Amino acid sequence: MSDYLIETNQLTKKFGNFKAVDSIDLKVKKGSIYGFLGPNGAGKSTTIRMLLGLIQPTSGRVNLFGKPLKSNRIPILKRVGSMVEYPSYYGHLTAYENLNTTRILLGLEAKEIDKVLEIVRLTEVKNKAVKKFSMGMKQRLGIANALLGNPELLILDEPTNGLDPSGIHEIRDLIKSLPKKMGITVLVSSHILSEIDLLATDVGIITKGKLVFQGSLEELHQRGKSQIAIEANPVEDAAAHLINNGFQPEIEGETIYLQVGEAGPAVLNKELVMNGFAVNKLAVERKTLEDIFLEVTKEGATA
Amino acid sequence: MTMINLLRTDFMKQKGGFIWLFLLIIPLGTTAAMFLDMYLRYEDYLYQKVQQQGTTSWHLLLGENHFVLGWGAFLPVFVAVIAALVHHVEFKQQSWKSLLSLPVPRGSVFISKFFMILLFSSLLIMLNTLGLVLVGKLSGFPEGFTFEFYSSYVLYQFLGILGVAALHNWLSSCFKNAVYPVVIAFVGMIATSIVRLSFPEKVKFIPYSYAYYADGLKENDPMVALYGGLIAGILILVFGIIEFKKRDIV
Ligand SMILES: Nc1ncnc2c1ncn2[C@@H]1O[C@H](COP(=O)(O)OP(=O)(O)O)[C@@H](O)[C@H]1O
Ligand SMILES: [Mg+2]
Repeated sequence: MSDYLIETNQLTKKFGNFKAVDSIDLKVKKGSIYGFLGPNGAGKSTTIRMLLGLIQPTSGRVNLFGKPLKSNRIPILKRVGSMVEYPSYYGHLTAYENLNTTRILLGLEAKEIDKVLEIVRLTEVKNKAVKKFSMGMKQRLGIANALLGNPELLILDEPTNGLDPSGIHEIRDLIKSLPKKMGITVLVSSHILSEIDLLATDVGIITKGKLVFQGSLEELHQRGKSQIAIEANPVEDAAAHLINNGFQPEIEGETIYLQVGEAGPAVLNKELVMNGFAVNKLAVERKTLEDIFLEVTKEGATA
Repeated sequence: MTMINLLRTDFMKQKGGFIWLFLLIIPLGTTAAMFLDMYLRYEDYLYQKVQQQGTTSWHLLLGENHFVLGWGAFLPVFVAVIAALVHHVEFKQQSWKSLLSLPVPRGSVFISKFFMILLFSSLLIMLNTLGLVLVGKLSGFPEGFTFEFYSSYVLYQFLGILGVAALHNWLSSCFKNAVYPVVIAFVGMIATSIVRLSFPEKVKFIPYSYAYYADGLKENDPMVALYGGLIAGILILVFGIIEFKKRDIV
């Protein structure tokens, strides 16, 4: 038994010659909220469809709960709740009737429906036809549907797509409460970095079908270690001077960057000024998560 | 157990659906047409024909329904419409992906849809025949109603559509746009009529043709409906299950 609820091995999906998902090794720990992050078209939904057995991988393996999905599809899916891309529903049926079709197929008692309706706060409108629901209500119904049968693993593909800010907030709070309240492990995909930042404990970043980062949210933040930015004139000479004195500066445009550990700003300032360079700016900069994300996805694209 | 649950949910999904209207309108239409036919032609013309041919009014009425009205040729198209409606509920809001992410065997999901098509088609067939009984009674046929003849008509129609039901269960599961499979059935029906006239020995290879043999009148052999429907039904159903199980749900 591995410690991972989801583990993929070199998972690949080709559409014709196009690799939508390219050799990814996903690792989702029990009890985590795994943020599966990537721009539109990166391969998130395709990966998720493979995790649910909706599409066959071209190559590679999917293990859920330590067992191969291929040979254990039904017992595995009993423990998984999911919502893929847009919520599916039968528009002419009420919210209750929609959930009832899933409940029957899962062999659950009728009272389970009221339980999940309560969780997503749709009890009041449970007898209304779903086609009259707002996008946010449909999305919540989709989550209620995924929660039926107390799944151990919840897979939600862009659950906040098409919602207004308050709807996004609400769904985020709901998802965040699940691991604590119900012991559920969650994999949630998004193309919005800030959303994952506010929600996830672990992150996988996918771009152009490749998994370019995987680790805890903290590790991702640490990639944005502080650095010292110096604007000194003339820039080439100043950098050369620093190199001669044992530093390792990097030049980007008119700015020289140094890692914080190398020397304090005061030391650097003195060193440059004493040697006749004009220091116009000296600052300690910290990369934002946005910068890291862009950097990581760019690396992945050229790799 | 899963199968019964699937059938239950498939049935629930048709709540308030167009399929019920369809099942009402088509038999109403055929009944009205046959009533008009008897009203206008029975006493002056058709009854004389019955006497000349040494048959009964009930046999004649069935023949009018099957050949003159064209029920035997059209029935496969109606089955295709039913199949399209049964599958459409899963396409409308992309429900296939959530249905097939549930712990249910894909093969059972597919077979459940097939049974739904059979159920609604049987209803349609029975309502059409019930309409004939009503027309015969209203027209005051002198001969007694021959239950056996009419019930075997129903039975052979049911067997005769098995191939089309299986074919359209699969076709309807392939197209998001429900119009395509119905158009295919319509073209199939026309092609079948042409083949029947031009190459009568070949028409028995077309699943759309079998319901036509269900009447038990003239030279039509209902065994074609029986064997054709059963063989085509089983072969196409098995093929469909195999394909559906492997299919990528995108
Ligand atoms: N059925 C398909 N046939 C061909 N290409 C597809 C299919 N499904 C997805 N793709 C392509 O695969 C890539 C990944 O798509 P997707 O997994 O939906 O991305 P994401 O969910 O991250 O936005 C996209 O370029 C998309 O166009
Ligand atoms: Mg997507």
